[in-house]
Amino acid sequence: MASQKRMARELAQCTATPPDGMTVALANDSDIHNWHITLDGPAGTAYAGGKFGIILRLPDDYPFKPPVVTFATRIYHPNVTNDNAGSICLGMLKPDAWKPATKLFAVLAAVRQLLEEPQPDDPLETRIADEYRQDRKEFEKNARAYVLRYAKGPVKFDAAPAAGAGGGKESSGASGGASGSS
Amino acid sequence: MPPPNTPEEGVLPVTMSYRRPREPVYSRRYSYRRTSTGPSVSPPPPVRLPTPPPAPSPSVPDAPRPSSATRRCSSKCQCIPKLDYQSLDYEVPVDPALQCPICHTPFHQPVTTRTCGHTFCSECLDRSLETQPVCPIDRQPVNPSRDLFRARVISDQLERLKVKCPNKGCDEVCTRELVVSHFDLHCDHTLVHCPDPFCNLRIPRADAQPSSGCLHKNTPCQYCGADVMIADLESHYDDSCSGHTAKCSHCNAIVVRHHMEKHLAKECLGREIHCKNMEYGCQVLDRRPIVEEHERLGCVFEAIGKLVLQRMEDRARIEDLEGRLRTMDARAQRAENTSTSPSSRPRMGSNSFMPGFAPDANIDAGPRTPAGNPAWRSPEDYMLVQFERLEAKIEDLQKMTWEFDGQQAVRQLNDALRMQEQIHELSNRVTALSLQVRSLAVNAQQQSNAQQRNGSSGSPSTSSSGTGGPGTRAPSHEDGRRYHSNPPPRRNSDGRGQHPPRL
Repeated sequence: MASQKRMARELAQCTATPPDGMTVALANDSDIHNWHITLDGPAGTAYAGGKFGIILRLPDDYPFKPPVVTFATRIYHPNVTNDNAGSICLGMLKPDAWKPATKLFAVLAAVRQLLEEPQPDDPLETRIADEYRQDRKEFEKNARAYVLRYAKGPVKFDAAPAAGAGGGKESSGASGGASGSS
Repeated sequence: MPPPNTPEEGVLPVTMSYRRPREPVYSRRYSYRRTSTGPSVSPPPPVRLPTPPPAPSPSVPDAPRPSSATRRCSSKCQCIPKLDYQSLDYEVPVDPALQCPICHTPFHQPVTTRTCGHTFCSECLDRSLETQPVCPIDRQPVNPSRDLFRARVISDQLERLKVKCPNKGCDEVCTRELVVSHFDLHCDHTLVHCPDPFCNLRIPRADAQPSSGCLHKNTPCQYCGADVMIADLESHYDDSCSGHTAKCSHCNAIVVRHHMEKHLAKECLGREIHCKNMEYGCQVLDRRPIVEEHERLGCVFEAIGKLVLQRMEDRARIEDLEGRLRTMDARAQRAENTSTSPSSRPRMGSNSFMPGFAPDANIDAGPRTPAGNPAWRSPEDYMLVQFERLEAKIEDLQKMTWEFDGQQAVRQLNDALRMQEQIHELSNRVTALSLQVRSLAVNAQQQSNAQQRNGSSGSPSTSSSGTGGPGTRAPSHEDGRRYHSNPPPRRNSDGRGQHPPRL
């Protein structure tokens, strides 16, 4: 298969020299399509000290279709749905913006970059985005509370359902309500 | 009926099946030479000859299996796996710049976009353009029918790289250009159709002999009794057979039964073996480590073995030489019989020891002794004859030289005599002339003396010239005429006076 070799190469590259603060492993040794990534919250951000689980699922026709990246650990972030799905809004992963030549290393680096610099102009959670823009202190307080509550201790990857990565916008309203109550 | 574990047609590997529909488009667009995966070139495996159906087939003519006509694959057969370029292993690592950004393997049939100049494998790019008609790197719009051209330099470069045959168990290493034909036509490990036309399975080419028939039948394993397909027996013995290992009776090691013979012959430490020089007389018979040590320290019989080998070699050479000598003898005998007339030189012996020696002598002496070339008795003999001949030649040359010298001397003498005579004649003439000149000079002196005497008597020079001029001149004229007429005409040295001016 054309993609098998590429996936194997990318996995080898990412496990050998992963982006800063990340460790990459397969969810199941026999399935190269599901990656489990552990991300240490970048220092200097509200997420520092937390350990976030990220699930990267490669579609069958990867690299012609973009990989699906979701947070398995709940996170308080304008570009990540604040629910169990943990969908990410990342420009390069949108189907009409995906470039088959993009390497997964770049995708993982972009996810990490998203934690360092949230993109409130292209949000999944409009409420959190507004808070990020208008009341940074409140945002950081909430984010830290989320880290303390969800992102401490061993990372669990089974929290997020594998499916449901696509519809981030629809679920944003409901999840926004959920986050407000918590 | 097919065995219970016969896979269905759809289970067969579909490695590149999704590419099939696009290939004609590709070949039309870039007109690549399709050597590998092109449906038109892939020949049917050679083993699938139209063999007559095996004996049981007439008994089940209406069986619901696929008939041989429908199963017989056409040139568009997809059930035989094609060479997968992306799975090739290269002998040396390939520069990342020569790898497709989509599949991350070295380019296969690379094409470059006209708009942005990015290069991809044609299959990867086609697949990507199907999803979105943009460049996979910078998302510039790409028109597949217009904006692409072959990157021939790159492909030529890559086709020359050495790759390993992708088949397991095959050690073939060749250039990427050739690996396709190796894989499709020659490799013993490539899967081809079972020689049985009623069998849908595939089998390595090495095992697909029409004579061996279908190997996809079950047979009970000789160790564990399980039903195993004949074609899978090897791997069954190696891996899954429950009774596949046994204890070696000599060294108690656990060995795969299937490899027991190899173990006993090459590995077993407990079994007694002979020294390798047994055939030369070494009596050592012991366990492998001891025998190996014995051989390492130097078995005495090893030297004897070498001698024996040497002797055999020498004997072969002697026999060879003897044979050649016999043929030579026979030839000499023939030559002797055919030579009839005596040669120019007395024969030294009729039973020549070295017949036909020195073919050069035959060539040289050929014209002189046309009746028959003497077969020289020995090299010395031949050299002697040559020497004599050369001596005679030298004598001839000496004589010629003497004759020539004599002639030369006579000719020189004649020439010298003639010259002497001429010189004498010339000297005579010169003396005569000098006498005449002297007498003339005396005359002139006398005349001038007479004139001086007249001048000193007192007459001016003009009157004397007017009166005595003709008188004095007349004799000079007459002298001049006499000089000019009587003696042989003389030539002036400058040649001007040769023709006196005409009046």
